[in-house]
Amino acid sequence: MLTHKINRTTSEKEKMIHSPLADFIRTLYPLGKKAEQYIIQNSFHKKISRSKYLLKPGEFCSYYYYIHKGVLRAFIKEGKKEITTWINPENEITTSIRSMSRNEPSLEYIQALENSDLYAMSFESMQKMYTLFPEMNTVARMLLEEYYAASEERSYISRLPSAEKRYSHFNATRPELVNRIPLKYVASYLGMSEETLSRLRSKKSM
Amino acid sequence: MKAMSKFKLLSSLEQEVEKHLAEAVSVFQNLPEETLLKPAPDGGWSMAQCLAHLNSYGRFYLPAITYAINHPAGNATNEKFKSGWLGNYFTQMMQPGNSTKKYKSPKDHSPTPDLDARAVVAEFIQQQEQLMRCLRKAKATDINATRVPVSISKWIRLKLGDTFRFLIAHNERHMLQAKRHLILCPL
Repeated sequence: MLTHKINRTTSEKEKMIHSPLADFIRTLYPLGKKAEQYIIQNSFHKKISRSKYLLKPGEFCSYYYYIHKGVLRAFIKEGKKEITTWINPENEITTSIRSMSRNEPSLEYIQALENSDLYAMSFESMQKMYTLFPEMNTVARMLLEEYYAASEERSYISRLPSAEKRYSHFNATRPELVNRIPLKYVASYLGMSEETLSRLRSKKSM
Repeated sequence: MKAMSKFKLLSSLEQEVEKHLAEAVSVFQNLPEETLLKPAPDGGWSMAQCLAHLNSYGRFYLPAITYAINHPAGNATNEKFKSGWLGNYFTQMMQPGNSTKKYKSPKDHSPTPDLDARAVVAEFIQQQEQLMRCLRKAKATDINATRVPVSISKWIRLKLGDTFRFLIAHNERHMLQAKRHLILCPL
């Protein structure tokens, strides 16, 4: 199966008179009534429970997902090993960027690490929105800048030569994650074994 | 216990496991090793020992449950579950509300105090994730007819639904013990 399946109920769509995705966009840029209506009509709520997959390699992702509640991570498999490529908590928008920009299937798994609430909008609806509401181009640019910086941050962290430096960078920038996700995912994101991570953490607490 | 919907039972058990996982991640994995290893004020188990004790059962039951799900009996479309008398008895025994009675753990399930506390917590989290996957798979299994042997005798086999109930009630019992201990422990 190549297309990514979505569970969608019409009753849920009708119920939504207020959209957390619209609220999120409003924190970035003023949002007109009509644009808000458009978002409400063209996005839908999706729940995903802990450890379930939103996307698997080889599938096409045709949606943007706004994480309203919860945490998602992406990983690739290298033999039996899982290499975590990013971890995103709420108030982030996520997707498979390869599917979106290059129309290529995903290389990554995207998995929920908590029971999560997402709001999804298709690439197609998003494209239409740029034409209908030109101010949305500004929002898209702001988000892309933000996510490009985040991507740079990840490539920076992966190039730091020592496990200790990678950990202390993580600890300085995203300390809250250790209260929410199992440490093995943090270790895999930082490219170290769980034992090394726990050794670094006990050193820190002394 | 009256017959009930297996979906209702499995989803309430899943919520219980979700709670144990969340507590392990937000509390236990972030405690200093000294705190995890400190014996209880009454001389009882440390928090790490409580979790290691649960892990020792998980090491037996998780493979046994997985085997049972892969070799199911009965009819997968059976949506009813009725607890067996023994399964129900074991589960009741573990309920913290029903009894504060102390049971002596079998020797091979009594962890020594010198543990690698971080590794114990990590294994516990790993096992809870696995248990949750089993609960989800069991939705497509007859949990009434499929049976799992108990750890003390391969001749006694509980219904899969009862094995889940018993195992998760036992987890809850010792999570409570570990948390009681945490309240008394100055951080």
